[in-house]
Amino acid sequence: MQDPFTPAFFRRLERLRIRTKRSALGTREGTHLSLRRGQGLEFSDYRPYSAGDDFRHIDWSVYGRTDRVYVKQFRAEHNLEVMILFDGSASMGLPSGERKFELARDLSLALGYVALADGDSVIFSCLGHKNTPKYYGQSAFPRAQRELLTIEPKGSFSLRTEIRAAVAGQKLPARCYLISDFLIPPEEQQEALDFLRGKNFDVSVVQIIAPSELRLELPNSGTMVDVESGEELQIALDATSLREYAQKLGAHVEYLERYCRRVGIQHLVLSSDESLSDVVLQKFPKAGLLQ
Amino acid sequence: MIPWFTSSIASFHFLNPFMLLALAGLPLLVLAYMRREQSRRHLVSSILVLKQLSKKATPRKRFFPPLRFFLELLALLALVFGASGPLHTDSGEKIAVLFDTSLSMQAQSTEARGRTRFDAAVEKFSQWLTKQKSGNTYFLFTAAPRLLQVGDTGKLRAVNSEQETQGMSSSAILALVKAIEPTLAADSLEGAANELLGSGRYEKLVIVSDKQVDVQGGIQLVETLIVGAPVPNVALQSLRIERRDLAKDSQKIVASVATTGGAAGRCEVDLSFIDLGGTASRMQTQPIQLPTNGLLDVSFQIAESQAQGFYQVLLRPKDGDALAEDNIGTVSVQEAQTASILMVEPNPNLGDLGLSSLPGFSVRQLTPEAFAALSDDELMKSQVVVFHGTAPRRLFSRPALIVVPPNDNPLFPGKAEVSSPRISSWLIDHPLLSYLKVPLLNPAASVVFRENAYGKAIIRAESGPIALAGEANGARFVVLGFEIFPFEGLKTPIPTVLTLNILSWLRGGAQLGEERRTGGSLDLRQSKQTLTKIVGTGKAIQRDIDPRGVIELAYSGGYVLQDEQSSHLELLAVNAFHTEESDTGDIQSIVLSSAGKEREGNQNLGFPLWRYAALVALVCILLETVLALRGREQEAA
Repeated sequence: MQDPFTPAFFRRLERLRIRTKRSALGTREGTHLSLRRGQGLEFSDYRPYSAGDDFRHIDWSVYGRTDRVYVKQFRAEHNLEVMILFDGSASMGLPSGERKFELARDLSLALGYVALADGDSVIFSCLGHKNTPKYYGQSAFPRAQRELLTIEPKGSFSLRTEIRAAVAGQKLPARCYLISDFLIPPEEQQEALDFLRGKNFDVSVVQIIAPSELRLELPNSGTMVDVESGEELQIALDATSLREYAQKLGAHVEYLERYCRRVGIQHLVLSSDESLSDVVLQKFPKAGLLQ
Repeated sequence: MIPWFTSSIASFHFLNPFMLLALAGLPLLVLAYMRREQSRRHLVSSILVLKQLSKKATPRKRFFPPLRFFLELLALLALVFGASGPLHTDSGEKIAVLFDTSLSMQAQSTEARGRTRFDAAVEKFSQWLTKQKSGNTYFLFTAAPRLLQVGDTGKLRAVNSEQETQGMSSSAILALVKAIEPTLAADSLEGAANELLGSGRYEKLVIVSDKQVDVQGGIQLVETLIVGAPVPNVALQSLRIERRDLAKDSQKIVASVATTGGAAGRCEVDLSFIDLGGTASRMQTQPIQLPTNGLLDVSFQIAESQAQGFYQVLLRPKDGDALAEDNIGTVSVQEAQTASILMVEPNPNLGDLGLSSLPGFSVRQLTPEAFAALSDDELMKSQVVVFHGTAPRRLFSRPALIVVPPNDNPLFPGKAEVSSPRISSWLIDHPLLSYLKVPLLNPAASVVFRENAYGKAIIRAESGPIALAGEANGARFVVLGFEIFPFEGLKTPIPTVLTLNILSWLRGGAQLGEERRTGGSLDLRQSKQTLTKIVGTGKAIQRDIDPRGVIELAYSGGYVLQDEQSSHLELLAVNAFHTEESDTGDIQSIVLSSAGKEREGNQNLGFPLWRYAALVALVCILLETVLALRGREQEAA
C-alpha cells in the first residue's frame, strides 16, 4: 500500500493545528494559550507597577486616566501535551483486509505530525502494546512512524486498564485522542472515557468500523468466534436478523455518541475504507478535532 | 401391529445383503458434517452486537445440520439399499415341488417294509413341509412322462409358460401329494427341473425323487429330498415275436429278462393268451435261473395262427424283486398272424410273382379293375398292397409297394426308362437297405422318377431316383423303378433281402402294429380309428377311454383300435419297458443346468426395489446439488 505520508500530505498537515478547548499547560513555550501568565501576546490583566517590571508593558492610557502606573499582564503560550491512544487489540485486525488498525495507526501518526509541527509534544500509545517516548519537533516523526509500523493488532484487554496504564506517566492534562472500534460493552466505554475526563484530558473519540461490520457480511449460518474473548455464538441469519443487526449496531454507536455529546467529548465515526487524507484534512477539522 | 411389521420385514429379500454393511459408514457422513461445521467457524472482531440478536438468529449451539445433510443421508441410504438388491416378495416363498411319480418310485422302499419309495417320498415331503415357513406358496408338478402341473383338484394340466398358476398352502399340497398316483411311465426329471428353473417364477425348486440331483454352477435354488436305496430288481426289458422266415422254421415269442441291483436266483416265466374279451389262459411256464446284473432271453414257441388277442408274459421271481410292475409284458397277436398281401397286377398270368412262398404271408391277386371295386373293408384286411406294373391314383391308409409303375402314373411319374442304370448313391442308414450291398442290385432296367414331393429317394442312379419311400395317410409306401420279382428266395439273395426289408419296413411303420411304452401318446386326431378299450393288464384295468384326440398311454396292456368305417381292429400293446426306471440298483443322477439358469430364475424372486431406491437417491442428489449451488451463489454475493 502506498505510503500516505507524502511531502504534499505533510505540507497540508503543517497548515493544521491541534484544536483544544482547554488552555495548554505544557512545559515549553508553545503556541497555545496557557492559563499561566507569561510572555505571550494575549492581554490578560493589569497590575500595579512593581520595581523591576518591564517599562514596555506600562499602560500609559490608564496612567493618563488615573495617574497611577499599571503594567499589562499577558497570558503565557505553552506547548500542548498530546496523547494519541489507538486500539491495538485483535478486534482491530478483523475483518481481515479491511484495515481498521492501519487507519487507526495512520490517523494517529497524522495527528501526531500536526502536533509535532505545531511545537506540541506527542506520546503515541498503542493500547495493549506499548507507549512511545514523548516526541518533540517534526524531526521526531520518522522515529515515531518506525516505532508504530512494527505493531500488529492482537490480544484483548480492558480498555480502561490499558488507558490507565498508558496515561500513568502523564502528569499534566493532555489533549487526548482515543481511536478504536469501540466494540466493547457501553459500560466499558464509559468507564474508559470517564477515566480520561477525570484526568482532565481534552478527549476526542474516533470510532472506526469496517464496511463489512456495518453491513454484517457474514455466512448465514455457522459459528462466530469472538477473536478477543474466544466466545462462540451460533447464528442462523435471515433478512429479518440482518435488519435487526443494523438496528442493534446503530444503537450501539448511538449510545457512545450520546454519551460523548453529554459529556462534551467530540465523537467521530469513520469507515475503515475512507481515505486518510480525506479524514484528516476534511473530517477532522469539520468535527473540531483539528483546526 | 407387530405381526404386520415382522411379516413386512420378512417379505424383503436382499440379493447382495453384504452391501448393507456399507451403512456402517453413516457415522462418517455425520463426522464429515461436523468437520464441515468446524470449518464453518468464523473469527469475527466481536460478537457483542450479534449476541443482542433474537433467539431465532442465535440458536443454541448443537449439531443441527442443514437440509443438505439429510438429503445426502437419504441418498446414501437409498444407494446402499438399492445396491443390496432388495426384493419384495409376498410373504413366504414360491416353491415348485417336482414330485417323481415314475415307475422306479414304486420300488419297494428300504426305509420301511411293505412301503414303496413313493410312500417314503410322501412321508419325507410331509416332514420337510413342517420345517418350512408358513407363508410359503407351493406349486406341485410331476414329470412322468412329461412335466405337468397338478391342479388344486388333482387334475393334471400342461405347464403354460404364459399363464400364471395359483399356488397352494402347505396343507393343500400335502393332501394333493397323498392323493396323486404313481405312474408306470419313465420320468423326464432333468428336463422338467430345468424348465421350472428357467421359468423364473419360483424362488425354490424342491425335487422329491429317488434320483440324485447333480447341480452345476452353484445353484442355490434346488433342494432334493432323496428316497430309496439300491435294491435288487427283476424286469422284463423287451418282448418280441420272431416269425418264421427263411432262417427260422417256427414262430416264437422272445422275452428279455434283466436283473439289476444284485438280483439273481430262480424265476418262473409264464406265457398267457388274453382274448379280446379279457379272458386269460396260461399257455406255458418256464423256470429260469436269473443271472446277477445281466440279461437273459426266454423263448416261447407259438402257433402261427391264433385268434385275435394278446400274448402276455409274466415274470415270477422267487427271490427279491423291487418292482412288480415291470414284470409283465404284452404283445398283440396281430403281429403273430400271417400277413395278408394284396397284389394288384394287370397281367393275371404272372401269378403271385413268388410272393406266396414268403413265410408268414398269404397273397391275394387282383386286377386293377377288381382292386378299384374293392371295398374298404376288404382292403383293410390286407397288411400290404403290392402294385406291380400299375399304380394307384391316390395313396391310402395301407402300406403299399409299387413296382415298376407306368411312367404316366399320377403319383410317381417317371421321366425316363433307362437300361442298366448306374447306381450313384443311396441312403446308407435307411432300414430298407439293411444288410444290402446296394451296388450288387444291378437292375437291368429301371424307371427313373421325377423328384417327388411324396417320398424320399432311397436309391439314385446317375439319371435320377430309382427307388422312393415315404409315409402318407399313416401308412408307408415304397416305389421301385426296377423289377425285384419274381420272389425266388435264396436263389436271388439280393432282391430277396430287399423284398424282405421292404415288407418288414412297410408293416412296422406309422402308428399301427407297433409296440408302445407306457407314458407315450397316441395321436388319433387325423385318424379314423377310435380307441375302444383296454384288455388284460397286470393291474386288470378295463375301462372306456376318451375316443378322440391325443391319448396318453398311461397303462400297460393291450389296446384295441377300431376303424370307424369298417370292423377292422388294430391291436396295440403298451409296455412299461423303461430300462432306467427298472434299474433300481443304481440311483442315477439328474444334472441340472449351470448358474446361468439360476440368474434367470432369480429375476423373479420378488419385486425388485432397487429401481425405486436409485430414483430416490437421484432425486436427493439433484436437490442437494441445487441447494449447494444456491448456497455458493449466496456466499459469492
